Amino acid sequence: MQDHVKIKQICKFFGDNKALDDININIKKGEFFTLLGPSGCGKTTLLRILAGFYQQEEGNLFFEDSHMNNIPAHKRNIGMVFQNYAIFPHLTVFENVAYGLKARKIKKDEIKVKVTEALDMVELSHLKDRQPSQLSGGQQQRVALARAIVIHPGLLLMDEPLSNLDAKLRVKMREDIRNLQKSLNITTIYVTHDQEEALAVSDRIAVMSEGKVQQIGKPHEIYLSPVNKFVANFIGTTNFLDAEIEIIDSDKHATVFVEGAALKTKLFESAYGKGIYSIRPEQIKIKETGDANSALVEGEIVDATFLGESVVYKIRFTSGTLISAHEHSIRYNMLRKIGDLVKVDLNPEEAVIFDESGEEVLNEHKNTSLKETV
Amino acid sequence: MSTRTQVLKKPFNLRLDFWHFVIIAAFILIGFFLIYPLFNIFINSFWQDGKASLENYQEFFSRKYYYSALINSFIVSTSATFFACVLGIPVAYAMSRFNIPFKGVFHILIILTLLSPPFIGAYSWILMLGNNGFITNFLANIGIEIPSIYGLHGMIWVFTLQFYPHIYLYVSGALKTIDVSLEEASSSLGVSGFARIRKVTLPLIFPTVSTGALMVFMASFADFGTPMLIGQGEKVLPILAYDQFISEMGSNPAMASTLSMILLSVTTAVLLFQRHIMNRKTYTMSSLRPPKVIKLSPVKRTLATLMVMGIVTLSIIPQATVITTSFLKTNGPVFVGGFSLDSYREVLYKVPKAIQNTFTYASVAIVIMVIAGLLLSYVVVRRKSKITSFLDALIMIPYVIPGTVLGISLIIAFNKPPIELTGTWVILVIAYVVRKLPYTMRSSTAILHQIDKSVEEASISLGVPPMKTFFKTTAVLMIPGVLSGAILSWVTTINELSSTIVLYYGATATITVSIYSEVFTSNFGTAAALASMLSLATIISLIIIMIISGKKEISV
Ligand SMILES: Nc1ncnc2c1ncn2[C@@H]1O[C@H](COP(=O)(O)OP(=O)(O)OP(=O)(O)O)[C@@H](O)[C@H]1O
Ligand SMILES: [Mg+2]
Repeated sequence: MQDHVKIKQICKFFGDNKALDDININIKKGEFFTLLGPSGCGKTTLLRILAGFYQQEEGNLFFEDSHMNNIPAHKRNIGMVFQNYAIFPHLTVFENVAYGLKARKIKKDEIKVKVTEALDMVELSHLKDRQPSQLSGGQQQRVALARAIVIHPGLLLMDEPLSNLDAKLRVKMREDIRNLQKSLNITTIYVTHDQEEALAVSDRIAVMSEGKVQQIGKPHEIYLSPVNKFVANFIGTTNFLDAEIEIIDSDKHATVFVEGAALKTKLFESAYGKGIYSIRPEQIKIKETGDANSALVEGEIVDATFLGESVVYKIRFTSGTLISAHEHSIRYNMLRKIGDLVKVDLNPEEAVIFDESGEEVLNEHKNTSLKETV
Repeated sequence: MSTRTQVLKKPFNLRLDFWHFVIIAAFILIGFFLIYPLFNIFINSFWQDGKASLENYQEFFSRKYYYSALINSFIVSTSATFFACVLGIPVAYAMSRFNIPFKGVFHILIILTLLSPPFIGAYSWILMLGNNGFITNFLANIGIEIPSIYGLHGMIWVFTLQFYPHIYLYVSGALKTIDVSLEEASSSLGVSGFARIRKVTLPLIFPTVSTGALMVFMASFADFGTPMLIGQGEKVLPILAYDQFISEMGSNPAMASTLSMILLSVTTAVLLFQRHIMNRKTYTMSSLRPPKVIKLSPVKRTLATLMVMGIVTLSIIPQATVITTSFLKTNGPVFVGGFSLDSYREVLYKVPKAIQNTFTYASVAIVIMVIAGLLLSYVVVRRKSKITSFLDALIMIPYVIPGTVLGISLIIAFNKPPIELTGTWVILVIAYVVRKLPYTMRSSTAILHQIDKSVEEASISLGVPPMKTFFKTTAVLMIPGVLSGAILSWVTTINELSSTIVLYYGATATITVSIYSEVFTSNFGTAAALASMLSLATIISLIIIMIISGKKEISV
């Protein structure tokens, strides 16, 4: 598919502070693309550069094949949804949505048709004559959305649009947004620091940290195949364990020692010494003490949290290290008790091993192949 | 990944937009109508017989005629400031902490007191306590001699009653933001009652009191009308400067410039001094639990009410006197008994031009101030930079310029070709705009801080260019704030005397100037009728502000 937005080597400074550092992203037509990262990592800054509210110091921006650096914000044909909604407080719901159409000098009756249509899409037609002050947060958000899509923007930008809503409404709104986006087939760039939200709605995600893009990929790719320790840690939860790597053959098959257990894996390049072993709680398998496999680690259940479909166990190894592991709760008599002794399978097939600095993946694991699909 | 193929090192060209032009225009206008005139009198004050010298200053400090005016000014302003605090703080405390009835009415009356032209107070106290005043006469009839109102003590009396509302307004504001737990804590430590007020509450509101005190000092120090009417033999600085200026017209106005410089130096020094104490003693309080209104016992409540009522009544008496007088039958300076509208008839016949002038000039000024307030507050708040902060500081300079000084400096600057404005209405409007713009600016920036920035960005992203966006969104949202500030400026403009008296010229006389000359020729009836017109206009304006801003509070 054709690239719609091309961000090339963009850098942005605020004084001496480098808010964006060499950003390169290509976004496809009709894609729901999410910028995800902790507070202050530069998501808003990048979005505002796309919108034309900031100018980057370095780099270029293309929409399709047009060079956008010098195109002012009001000529970019962008629909933008702000975190605080930015509804025009002096206009009614109808007038708010009609605002962008009026600016485009569209005829009155046509405006009426389009506004009604847009308000229908966000289920707000019955409130069209209200003043914004008489709307709830969720309703204001819908007005903002209707106002942004009614102009048929080439690009829809949303900066944490749901962060002011309560949890239930957030889930409903994100589904509504996603469905609307799909049916209109609008290229959308969505900013959030909520990883669950990002995983749920996105076609692809760019994980950012400290002004840099850490990884770009489909939700399951960045979850199952993180490219560095930051991504593994930021997306979902994971256990990091100290690892000691020893090469055993020329084919880069290696033995990795974690918590005293010798685990087999295959490396990309030969390496030895210290590493970081990352394994997600649901990838860990808990076994009974009778299991004699030497790749298992002994531990004791020190905490159990029942979550309904699964149980989260905290397990302490003999070395003192704590990990968490998920287990499905299928039958009542399968639940484990605090104080139970267990053996833990650290599942090297699915684990990701990083080098000591956490910057690079060393091993091939079950989900490695995902990376080639990017 | 990072092969920098086509990095543009300087990808953007600096474009001038509308706001740059606003900033440039503002600097030019301020430079022309404020800085240049002030610079002029500064130079003039060091100029004697065609060469630079300190002679004028030496003369000032060596001749009693001159320096005693400075001393008088100090005595009057400091005393008035002190007494204004003595009145203002208890009234503010009682009004904000106790369950006093008719608070709304008292509040309005206090604001009305502040906004009426100062010399109307002086004038009506003369009507009451002057040599031929009705209280003086009444008391003389029953054999009681009272000291004359004329002199320094008369000025102090008038200024105190006129300007204590400054203290009241600032202190009430501060009392609302004190976290009640601070006071409770001190009570639980065994400090209570008056000791608590002295040890906890007063220190906490001290910075605000000092700001209010500064306003009182500045207003008393710069006032022209009151000392002119009530001072008689005792001269204060603004009067002296005016006298010198009038008598020196045509010749070298060096002494008037020197006096102006001294006036300016004092006001600036006092302002800096106040800022200095503020910086050392400011406690930021985020009122977590604002204090509750205390329900007093009936006796205490009556006492507190009587105190507030007494002070408010005393300060509103001049207004009442003036309005009553305007309906009395008069024959020249003599009241002949009975009521009539003669004074109004006479005024409309005698000085219709002055009435028209006042409202025309003030309206032209308000239009300019609304536009300037809208645009300048926007660049100061939304285009924050070193340059716009400097602009903001320049706009606030007129706070410390006494009206007389501004008047004198404008005349000296623009009384000769190429730019000759003396005697035109234009110079009056310039003076009004320069003097009152800071008030409009203050309320405009206040409202702008409350308007969400992203509203403009939303509009721009919907395809409306930045300039048009400003007028369709932010400007519309700012209007209530700008207008209420501008109307306040309008009120003080129609009541303005100190620069008008220097700048007017026969055909450009205003109501205040006419009142002043009517009082001087002892036509008390017509003066009262004119003053009542101003009071009416002031009251109507206040009502409009309250409707626009939708609240009972007015921050003056
Ligand atoms: N106008 C500005 N002036 C100076 N520094 C800024 C400005 N805007 C952002 N920054 C800095 O740039 C960095 C990136 O900020 P940005 O707002 O893009 O973060 P963000 O990822 O959107 O964070 P959040 O999730 O909190 O919204 C931060 O370090 C921030 O302090
Ligand atoms: Mg942000």
